[in-house]
Amino acid sequence: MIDLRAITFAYRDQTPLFDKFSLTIVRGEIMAVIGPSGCGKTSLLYLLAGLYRPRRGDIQIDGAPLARPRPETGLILQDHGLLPWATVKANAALGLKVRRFYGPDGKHAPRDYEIDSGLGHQKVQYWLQRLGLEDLQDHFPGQLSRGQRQRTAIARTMTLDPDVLLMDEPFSALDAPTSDRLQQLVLTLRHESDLTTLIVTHRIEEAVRMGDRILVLARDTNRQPHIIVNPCSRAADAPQDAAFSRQCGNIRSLLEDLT
Amino acid sequence: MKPARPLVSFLTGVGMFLLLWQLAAWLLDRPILPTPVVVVPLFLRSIVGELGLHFLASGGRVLAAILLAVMTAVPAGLALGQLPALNRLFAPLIAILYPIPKIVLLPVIYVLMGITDLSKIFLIALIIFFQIMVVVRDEAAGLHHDLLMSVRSLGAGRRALFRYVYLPASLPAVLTALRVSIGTAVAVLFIAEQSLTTWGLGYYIVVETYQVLLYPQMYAGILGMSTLGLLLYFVVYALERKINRHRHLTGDQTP
Repeated sequence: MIDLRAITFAYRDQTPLFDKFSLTIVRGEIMAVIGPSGCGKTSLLYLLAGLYRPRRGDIQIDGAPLARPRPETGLILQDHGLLPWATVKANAALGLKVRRFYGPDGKHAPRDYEIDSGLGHQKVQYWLQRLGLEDLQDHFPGQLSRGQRQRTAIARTMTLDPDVLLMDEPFSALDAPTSDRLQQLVLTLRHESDLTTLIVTHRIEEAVRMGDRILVLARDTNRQPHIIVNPCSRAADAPQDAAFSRQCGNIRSLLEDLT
Repeated sequence: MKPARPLVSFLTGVGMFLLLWQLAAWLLDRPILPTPVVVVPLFLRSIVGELGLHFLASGGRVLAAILLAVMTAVPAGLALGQLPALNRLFAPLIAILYPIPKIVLLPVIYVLMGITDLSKIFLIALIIFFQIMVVVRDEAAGLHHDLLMSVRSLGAGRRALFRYVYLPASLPAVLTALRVSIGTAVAVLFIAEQSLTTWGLGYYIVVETYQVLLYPQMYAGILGMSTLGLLLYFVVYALERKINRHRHLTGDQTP
């Protein structure tokens, strides 16, 4: 369970994006985060990843205060997240390399983490295969399509067995079939491993399709979370469905109210 | 590129160079320009003898200078690239020092550091230092914020970031800077070796051969110095090609 407890966050000399903002994310749920650009969607991800620190208040994950990036949290950014000079395979193995570099110190790698390069290699191969990347493993990111790069980033994160997955616009800039397949994949992964997932998006339909709950952020300072419970999620083939459209309409009007 | 191409191109270049040299020697027809027919065999004979020792002395100095420059310039460049405040503080100073021809400091360095190999190595290292520091700084500063954040989210702290991101990101730039500064480094070596030493190609060319009018021997020395520059250039170039593989492979996109 993730608990944001009255956090305040602002960039230097700017009005706060969050002011005494509290939010609870339940284990195993997918929360979609939507809002206008500049509302703090990505900052929220960085805060939850432990890469940014709130000015006041704190964030707890499973009761432990978050003071640094947590080894069990995976972060997948829109693009630019892969090492351009490393192959798909080397990129997918990067997280394991970092863990081996530090050893199981509890800070950079989980304390109970067992360093076993044979097992690590198997994991990398499993995820490359699962994500359809095994034929591309010697390619460099510059040779891949956006969808393939996104899958490489997912493989890199999944080899680390995360329990929290944070994704920043993971399906934007992808063509519709690719985006559909990746959405389906994320839904499956969460189902398999009880992943707590946060997906930042700017597309209402995506939020309604993916999110168990949808957090709508305002352009001005966010003081309280506006959350829509979404029973329409995973209605994979139902964008024409009446309930689905109604839900999209609800979010659209809330977004308009907040901006 | 086909694997045979660089070698073919290199040999063609050497062939054309020797041909032009031969023509020029015939046309000029004076002792100051002996023909390659005389010089090349002499070079090949003497490089396994005394000339070889001069070659090793010069080569050792350049390599030591490169090592010294890389070991100091890379950390300095990384620090400047990662800490904008530090960079803002030093940028004006670097902008002024960077274009100064470091060779003018030769007498100062001699007085301060003494007439040893160290002073020659230091001077050459100084030239390479600025080239490398500036490119490493720019590479480190130009890394995408999202890339750094992604790798940090995998658990990487400062040391792992250095090992897995900053170092591989700046290595190609270090090699490029080395490749372009090798010419200057060898030129400065030539000048620095003309005095206060008895070993080195600069000494051999100017003191041992030129001043006593041994022109064919002098040309053997010149060939030695050229070989040194060429060798270093191609070694760095080959490393660059190997490391930059991802930049040479782009097409082949599948949706």
